[in-house]
Amino acid sequence: MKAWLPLLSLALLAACGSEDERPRLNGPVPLPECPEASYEPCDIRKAACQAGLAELAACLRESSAPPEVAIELMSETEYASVVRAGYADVPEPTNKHFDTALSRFGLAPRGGVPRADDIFAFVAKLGGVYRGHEKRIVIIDHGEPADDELSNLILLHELVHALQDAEHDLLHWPDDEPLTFDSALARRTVVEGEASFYEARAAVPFLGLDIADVDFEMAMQQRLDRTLEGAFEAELLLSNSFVTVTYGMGALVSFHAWQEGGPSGIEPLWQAPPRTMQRVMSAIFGQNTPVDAGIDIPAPDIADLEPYADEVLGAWGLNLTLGQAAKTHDSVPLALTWRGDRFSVYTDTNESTFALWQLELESPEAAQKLDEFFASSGATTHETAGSRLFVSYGIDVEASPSLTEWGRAWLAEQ
Amino acid sequence: MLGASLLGACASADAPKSYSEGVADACYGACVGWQRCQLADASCYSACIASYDPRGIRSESLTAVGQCLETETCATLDSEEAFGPCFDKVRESEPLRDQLVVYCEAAAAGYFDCNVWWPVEDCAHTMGVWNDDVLRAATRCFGRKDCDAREACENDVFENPL
Repeated sequence: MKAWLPLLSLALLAACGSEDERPRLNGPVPLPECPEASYEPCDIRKAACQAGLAELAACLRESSAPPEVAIELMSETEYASVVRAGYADVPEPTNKHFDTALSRFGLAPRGGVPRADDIFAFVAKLGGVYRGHEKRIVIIDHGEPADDELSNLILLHELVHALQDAEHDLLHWPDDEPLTFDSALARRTVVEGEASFYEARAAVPFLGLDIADVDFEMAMQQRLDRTLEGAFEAELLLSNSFVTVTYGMGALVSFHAWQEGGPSGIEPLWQAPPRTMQRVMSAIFGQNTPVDAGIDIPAPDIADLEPYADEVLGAWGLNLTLGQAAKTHDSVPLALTWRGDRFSVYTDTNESTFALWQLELESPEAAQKLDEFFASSGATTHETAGSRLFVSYGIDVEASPSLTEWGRAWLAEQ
Repeated sequence: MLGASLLGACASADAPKSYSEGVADACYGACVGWQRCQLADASCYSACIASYDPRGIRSESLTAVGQCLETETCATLDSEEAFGPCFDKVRESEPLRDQLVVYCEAAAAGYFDCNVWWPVEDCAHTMGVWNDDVLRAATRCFGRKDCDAREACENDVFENPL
């Protein structure tokens, strides 16, 4: 009897009127700017699918031609090996003093994270990557289908990077100036922001929706909120920022630029990228005054300690510090008073960790407020004068007198 | 017999099953399966009827689940998720209905606004077992501006279906 059931079903279908009378899904509604593109998910391992997505990426960006780039799928293990190989000539430090210094504010665990664990955590979160120096895209196979919407959109995102590279030479864009954490993060918002924006825009038809039926501004704001939360959900908060806020903040900035003039509206971001996260955040949160370049703060010149590393943490680094302590996002207004900083880490013959964080803020009031935060955050040497302040501390040892003196002399300069 | 079925289906003359008939079908199928696997005795059906109350699920889906449970493997029937695989199977084969389409298009758009990507098609393959009243109520949730309010509204609808 059961063998008859399929036949019965067919008969019912044929007998019950034409297909048009039954409810059906609207299916993908093409984006108005790319009406000819296919928005049906396809198997990204197939050349025709890759070519279709490359054409869509070029259409969305109004690029002259689809990107020419090798595309391959790799397992997490395979890609972790590729990343590890990139560090073959870079020995892993025995003492990660920079992370240890950051641990004072909860931005990293003391002693950092073993490189192998860090790579594993990175690859586990990675959907795909465009490797500019090899001109190839690697899509990470997490065991998910290769023909669903998400895999198509991940590949589309990476194809946008390939187009960016063809146009702007990402390895050298916008110049070869040395980057700080702050400036690298700010520039990355342009790269990831544009790709994330187009990925989200293309997602609408891929999900079977009409762009006219969604609230794209709300979606981008929600994405930003999600990435701001995600920014605190990692062990190494500085490196995690590159895979969270660059996407969330960058997508919103790119969307707003695109609203002004379509793909060419984004072009000014490429021509004059932000050099500080203060500028990016100020525009996004509509607070404070955008600062194009931070005040240059000289590195300590001391003889009794060995320099280990120094960084400009910027307004975002300050926000991480404040937010990690408060577990809220109420810290943004104070973080946006950032005007410049230098976070210097030193060690000595006992392998102790010492740090000096010099900050210049918008006003003496802001400096005073931040100084109060440092006062409440534990036993550190912190002083303020005018709009400047510094924090000097050691990990499990007293703060370095010479770093503290350097901080005082810097305060006295103004 | 075949002709009678066809006629009945096309003319929509089959009276829709009531919720209690759907529950009865699901319990019947489950008990056939459990008894086949010697996991239940003769009191199975009455006990099931007395306790099984999947509010908001379409009676037709419950009937289909019951048919699936009759032949479900003993290992699955002996597990905590005895009904799960059959529900998954039925979900996949639910026909599209107007209210399901309306809900899924509203839900996919509403979720997108809240940075959750849920294809309309996946929704249609997942939510078809809910009855139209539940889906209608859930559709109204997407009229709310705030994502948290939408989520709370949907949770309320699906956790406390009419």
